[in-house]
Amino acid sequence: MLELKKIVEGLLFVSEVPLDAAKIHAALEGESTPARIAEALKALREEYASGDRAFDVREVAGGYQFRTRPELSLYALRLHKKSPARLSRAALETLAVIAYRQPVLRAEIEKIRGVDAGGVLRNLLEKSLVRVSGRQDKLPGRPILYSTTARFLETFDLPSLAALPTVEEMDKLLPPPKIDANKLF
Amino acid sequence: MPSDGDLQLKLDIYEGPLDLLLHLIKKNEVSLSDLPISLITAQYLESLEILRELNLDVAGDFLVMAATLTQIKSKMLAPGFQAEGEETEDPRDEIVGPLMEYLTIQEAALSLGERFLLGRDVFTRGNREDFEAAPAEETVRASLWDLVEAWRALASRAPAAALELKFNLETQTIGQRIEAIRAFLTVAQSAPFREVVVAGDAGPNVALSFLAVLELARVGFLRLYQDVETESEGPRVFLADPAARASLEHDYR
Repeated sequence: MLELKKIVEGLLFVSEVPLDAAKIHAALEGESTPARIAEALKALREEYASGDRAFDVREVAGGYQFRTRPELSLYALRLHKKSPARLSRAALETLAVIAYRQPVLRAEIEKIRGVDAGGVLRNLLEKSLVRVSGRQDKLPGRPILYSTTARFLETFDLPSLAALPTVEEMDKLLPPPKIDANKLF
Repeated sequence: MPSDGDLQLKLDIYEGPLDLLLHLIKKNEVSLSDLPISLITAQYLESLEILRELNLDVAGDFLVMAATLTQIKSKMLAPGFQAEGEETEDPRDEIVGPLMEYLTIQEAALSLGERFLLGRDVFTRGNREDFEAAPAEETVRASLWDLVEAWRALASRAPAAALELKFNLETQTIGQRIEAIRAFLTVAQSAPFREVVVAGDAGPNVALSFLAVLELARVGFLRLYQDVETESEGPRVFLADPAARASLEHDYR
């Protein structure tokens, strides 16, 4: 039988979407165990990360996927004759609210940003970055709840929602408050 | 404002009252933990006034915030407040809380945007990224407030008569200004905002030019950007993609 690592590498190459260990296991039809597959994936990731390669094995949206290294972006864009994918500030802020507060109501998003969220939400739904995840039954009219999608994790290079920086980590990024405004009163 | 020849503009303003407040707070480099409410309220109301002068549709949310700010300001001036400071509730909490929350979300959005984005920084095999394309120039998108700042700077330089929004039969129409700017930009491709507004013999019609630029931005003929490197020069105006221009058949004359 082929070396397991080689099979896993081939399957990752063939797959168009991030491939999780369960799918690899299924493709092997009992020829291996989840533990050995996990081991092979780890070995592959290390091999690509340490080698002088153009792409890595990245863990995204609960699976694994070949992705080019960022320094290649210019050439990849030229090949596709495309401008870099871009999300507006409004879209990023709305995504941030949904990512951290999900499932979340449109009214909650609007309260935090102080503006209507209808257009931005529609846009994010169209791009499959956001989905309708249910309804708030306790409120009149049973308003819609929004959550992020697997596509969101893929787009932002995140293994899972747990990989989002925590709010405490974010607080450290904020500049320290200045104390100089007293005299203005 | 004259009733006929009055131009109605509607812009996609995602930025709301909280965004305007944060803009002012950052601009004045003041602290959220001890917000100079008089200063911020005055500048907030001034910004609304400018928007209204430009005949932009100032949404109700902006007015609600104006009322809130004014109320907080009067509470702070009322005798008793700050006398026994520790016990009384700070009236500013009403807006500082939401502002902090929004600031946190802005930071979160920023850190999301800095990740290795699929279709921008990293790529998979094949090509299934389908986001809105952005121009390749090394620029960042300017906000409405940058535009308002640009107008303020313009207003301080131009003679008062040039800024008056009067529609006399002798002077040009907004349609003529639009055509002049279109012609100018088709040749120039891109130019600083302050040059665009005086393009093609604007004469005393700088205010009309400003509205013309906004209208052309709205229909997708041009884009407004603030270049990081040359911030002091104010926003730059770029011609939109050829595809976007081709779809613009409207004749303003």
